[in-house]
Amino acid sequence: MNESLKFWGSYEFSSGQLRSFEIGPLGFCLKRDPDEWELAIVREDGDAADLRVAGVAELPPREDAEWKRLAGFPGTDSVRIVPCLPDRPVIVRPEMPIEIFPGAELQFFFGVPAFVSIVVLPGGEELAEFPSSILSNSWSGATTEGELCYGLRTRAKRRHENLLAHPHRIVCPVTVRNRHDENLKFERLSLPLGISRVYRGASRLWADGAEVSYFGPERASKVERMKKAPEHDGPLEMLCEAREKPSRKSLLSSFANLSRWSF
Amino acid sequence: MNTTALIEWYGRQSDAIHRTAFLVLLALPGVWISARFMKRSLAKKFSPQAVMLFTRTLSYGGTVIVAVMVLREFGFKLSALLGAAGIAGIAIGFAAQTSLSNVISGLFLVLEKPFQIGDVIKVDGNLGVVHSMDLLCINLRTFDNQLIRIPNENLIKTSVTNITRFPIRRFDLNIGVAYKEDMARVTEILRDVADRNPYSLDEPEPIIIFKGFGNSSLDFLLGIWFAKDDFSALRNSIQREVKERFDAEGIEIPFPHLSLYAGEATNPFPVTVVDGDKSSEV
Repeated sequence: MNESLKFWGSYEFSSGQLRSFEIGPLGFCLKRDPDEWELAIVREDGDAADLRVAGVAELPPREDAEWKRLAGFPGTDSVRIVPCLPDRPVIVRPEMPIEIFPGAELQFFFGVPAFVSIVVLPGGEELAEFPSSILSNSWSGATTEGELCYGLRTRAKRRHENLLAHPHRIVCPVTVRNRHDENLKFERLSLPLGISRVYRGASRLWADGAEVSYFGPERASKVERMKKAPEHDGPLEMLCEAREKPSRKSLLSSFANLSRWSF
Repeated sequence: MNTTALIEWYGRQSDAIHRTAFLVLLALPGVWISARFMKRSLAKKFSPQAVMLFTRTLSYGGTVIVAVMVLREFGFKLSALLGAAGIAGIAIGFAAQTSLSNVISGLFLVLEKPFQIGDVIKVDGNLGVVHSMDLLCINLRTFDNQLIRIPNENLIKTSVTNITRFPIRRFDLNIGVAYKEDMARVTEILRDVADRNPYSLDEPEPIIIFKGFGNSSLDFLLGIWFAKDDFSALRNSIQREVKERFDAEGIEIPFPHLSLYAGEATNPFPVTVVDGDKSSEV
């Protein structure tokens, strides 16, 4: 297993103990006080920040750190740090626009910065959740009606090996099926990630694959979670449940809501 | 009136008194309770304005009906009353034209829904949040916490801008740069500033338009889309970021200025310095 991926796990704290965590551009400090926790988040800018190796240390916090006190968790002495998928749909573009013929399907892979969820133990309540990288806001739909999304700067690729294996990025497989009788010009995709789980593989984090079926410009596309976890990286260990349970009702509603699943 | 007379009167009118008591003690509260029940049950399906309209119609109408029934119990002739009401109605109608117009305008506003409570609207130069929508008027709360009452009739007659109707908006920033600047470079810098701003939406993409050759500057328009809740944050941050970036890149934002030429651009403008009786030409 990639050593950096061991960052995602449980950590015990003694009373008054402070730990500094770094993963990619994100750094945060966590301190346990009697009956409360203190959290400070510091981010690094620039492309080099993405390449930082994940680590945990007992270092003093930076002077520019802004602390937040989180009370109401008595009796908790350890935390589990869990990677989650973003809380909004993401808009992703392929490396270059591609036309998918009727009846054809293509698989793509894209990386999305994980959201860090800190869960206190015992109990399992969420202490805090924040993105490992600040994602830019984007919009899916018309200017009069639509949905707030995140825009990804990195492109979707045909091979997951071409994606950089950062410990804070989750690889999302997506299969696009053209069930229309005309070519699908795939330039951008607005994809909800709430129904996918997060796994740890040998070399990187993975999300459940999504299958997107395109039925033409007049009908909403259908999004389903693949039944099996991705098999590209050996046996996977599930780290985070999906934010939403995929249900028949939510899939049917994707037909009616043209602005939600859009190309 | 002595007690005996009172008792005799009660004996003659006992049925009417009992029915009146029933109407006042049971029917009237029943009308009010029904109105409250209707308010709760309709609140989930209809807008607050429509609910207010239905419940007030029920409570006022029910009260009038109970009042008429009480009057009938004591022998008042309704035909005479209605006749008088007809004449009074005409008089009141003339006197209450404006109020009636406001009520009817309010009804149209409820049905059309050009805005709702909580929306930010601009009417006749007044900008504020819709605080309440009543039978005769709406109340706007300005951003410095003043209350402006606007009759419904005015809203029907004039144009109303609903600033928060749609989920995203565009912030347009007019920027002038000195004539000596490279336009392509300015465009690239503005695009980069917009891309880096966390409140700026990637899509729809920011627009950068060259508006024209101004008197003192090259004029650009930078239009940035944002989620409507991020207005203040975007407005404050983007203008500061443009200025800081221009300063860092050495791009001049000129003051309005006027260059004077004496007919020929290459010759210096002749200036004569006058000092007392002496004069010299420069």
